[in-house]
Amino acid sequence: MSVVFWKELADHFSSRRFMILLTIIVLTGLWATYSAGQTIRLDAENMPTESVFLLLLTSQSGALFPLATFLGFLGPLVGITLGFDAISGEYARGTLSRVLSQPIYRDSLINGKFLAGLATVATFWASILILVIGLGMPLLGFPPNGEELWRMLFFTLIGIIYVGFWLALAMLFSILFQRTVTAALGSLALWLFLAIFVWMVAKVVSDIVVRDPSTPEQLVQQANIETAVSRFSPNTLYSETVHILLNPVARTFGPVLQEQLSGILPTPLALSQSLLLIFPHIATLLALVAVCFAISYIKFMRTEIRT
Amino acid sequence: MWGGFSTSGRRLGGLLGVFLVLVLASGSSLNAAEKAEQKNSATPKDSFNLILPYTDVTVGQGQDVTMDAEVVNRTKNPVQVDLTLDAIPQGWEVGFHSRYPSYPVRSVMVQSEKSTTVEFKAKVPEKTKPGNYEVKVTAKDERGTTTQVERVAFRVTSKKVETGGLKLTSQYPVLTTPTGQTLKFTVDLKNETNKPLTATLVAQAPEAWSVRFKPQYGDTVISSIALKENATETLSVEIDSPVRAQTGEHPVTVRARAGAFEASTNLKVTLKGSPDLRIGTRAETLNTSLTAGKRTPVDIIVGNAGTAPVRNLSFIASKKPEKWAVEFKPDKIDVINPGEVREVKIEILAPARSIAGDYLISFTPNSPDAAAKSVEFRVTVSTPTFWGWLGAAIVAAVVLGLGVVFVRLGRR
Repeated sequence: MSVVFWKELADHFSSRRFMILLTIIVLTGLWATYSAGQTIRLDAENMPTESVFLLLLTSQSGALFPLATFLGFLGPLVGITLGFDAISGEYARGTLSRVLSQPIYRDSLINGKFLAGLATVATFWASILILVIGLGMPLLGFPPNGEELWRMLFFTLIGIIYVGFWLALAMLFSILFQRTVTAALGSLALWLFLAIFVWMVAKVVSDIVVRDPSTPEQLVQQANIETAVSRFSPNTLYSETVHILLNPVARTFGPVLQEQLSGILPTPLALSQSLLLIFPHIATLLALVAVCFAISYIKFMRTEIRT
Repeated sequence: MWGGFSTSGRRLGGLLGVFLVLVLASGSSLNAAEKAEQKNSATPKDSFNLILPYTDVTVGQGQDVTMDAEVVNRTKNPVQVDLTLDAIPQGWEVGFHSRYPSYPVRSVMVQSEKSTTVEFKAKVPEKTKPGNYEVKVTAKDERGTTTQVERVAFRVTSKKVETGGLKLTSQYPVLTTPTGQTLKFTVDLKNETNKPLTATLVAQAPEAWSVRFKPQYGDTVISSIALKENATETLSVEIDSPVRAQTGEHPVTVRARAGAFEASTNLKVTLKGSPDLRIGTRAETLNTSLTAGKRTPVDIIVGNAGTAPVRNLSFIASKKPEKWAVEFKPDKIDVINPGEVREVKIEILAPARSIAGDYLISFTPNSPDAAAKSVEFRVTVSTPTFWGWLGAAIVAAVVLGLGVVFVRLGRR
């Protein structure tokens, strides 16, 4: 398996399309971080020093997205790029039977390919995070504290799981469709749908269920339905998780009634409490990855490869 | 003869019957008879009386004497009375004036058994030596039948004699203020005469002071005021004291003058010094830069540009970011005299975890004398060099690490 893993890793790191995508994402992400840092410096007096490194990831400056949102939007592209031709590419080149004629187990091949993809994603995500820390220290004037480092670490883990889902999905498509272009287009279409159109669908569904909301309760119900529907998309899961994880003060998803908030002090939550809040989201994301990978695994193990 | 008779007949027409009896009498006897007749008609009184109410007046140099003189006709016929003045001391202006409108008059016609009032005016020049003077007033019936001579004695003194007429009073004649402020006195101007008067207002103040007269309500600057008879007007007198004025008492004389009437009141402005605390730096900038976590001293200078000392001065950091420490050394100054400049060191400590950027600190001088005008100070916190280098090192390490990964894996 390690042979496949290292070979795949080498392929990823020497492939042009991954290099181009990586360069674009890293440069844009760092630019977003830098301008966020400048914005924070301008308003230095009013910033909470406890979690200002997390603000580097979440605060918006001008027209640029915050880094976390940016990664949430473009991370799937990395996953798809790494996975869409994992198996179908071998089919297209006709190399699959040749590889498997080597003393390599069939499951080693798919495991190695998936792990290599995950390792690449981890390198990519962790590099960006460490770059953010390295850039943030001269910008802000002090190193991140333990709490911030832990939250960033969990952010990296969640990011890897999230991109891992798209990697697994792209691999599933590459096994299902066998044709590289179909696999790529299929994954991209699903990505577009889950990233953008799921919001419209959620809105339509909530409008159908709760017609003409007038009371605050009805408005909340409508919003809740909208959130529930949009949670079918891993994008929503990711953004909600990141929202809770990178804002120690945040403790709710979506809209809440004023009466529910009364008496709550806006103190930052402990890391464990934040993690408890987002645990269902993380579990769902992990399950999605596992399901996708399991289907691809079963399908690949049973597929006829000598055609 | 006939002429004489005819004139007599014209004048004494009522006694024609008597003259018919005496028609053959001589001219001299006729004259005697005429005189007898006149004596009969005028006695026991004169044809007129000139009544000068005051014939012994004490007056100051440069003052006017006015009095209402009355000419009373004692006969049943109108009488014309010539008024002449003699023995007027040199330089004096003495004369009779008609009342409203006031013209100089030399004679007056009085209706039968009525009286006419004329105004007697005497202006004593400023240069008149103190002493006793006399003015002779001669009133003569046009026919010369009655002559009345009055003498008005003037006792001229060097001191002004209060004549009344206008009265200027102030309820609060002494006011205290710091230098450079505007004071508002309230004065009452009273017209005690039973004539309307227009009073001119003049003030005498030390140099570089400015005095304005204003009505009690309203913001117009006035220099004269019309007063009805027996009326009182309240005026406000605004006095600007110059910033550089000496402390102490400064008299201001306010005068109201209306013709012969004059009144004045003395106001007194007591200036007490005002402290003027100035805070700045030698470079005249109000900003500094410091590194987080390091106690940084900033030199400021505190001076007193006012005219009174500032005592018990301390400073309060009225606005500072949370967890910052701002200390003043010395933290208390006993006294800063006018013109004195002191150096104060501010020690600013920004906590180690403070975001690099600009912060605003404001501190307020705290003294019973000085106004609590806070000074804002901009503090730029810069990144400690260590963290800057470490950050750069991390970035370099990541780039290097990625490069190594690319090279090592790419070669396989």
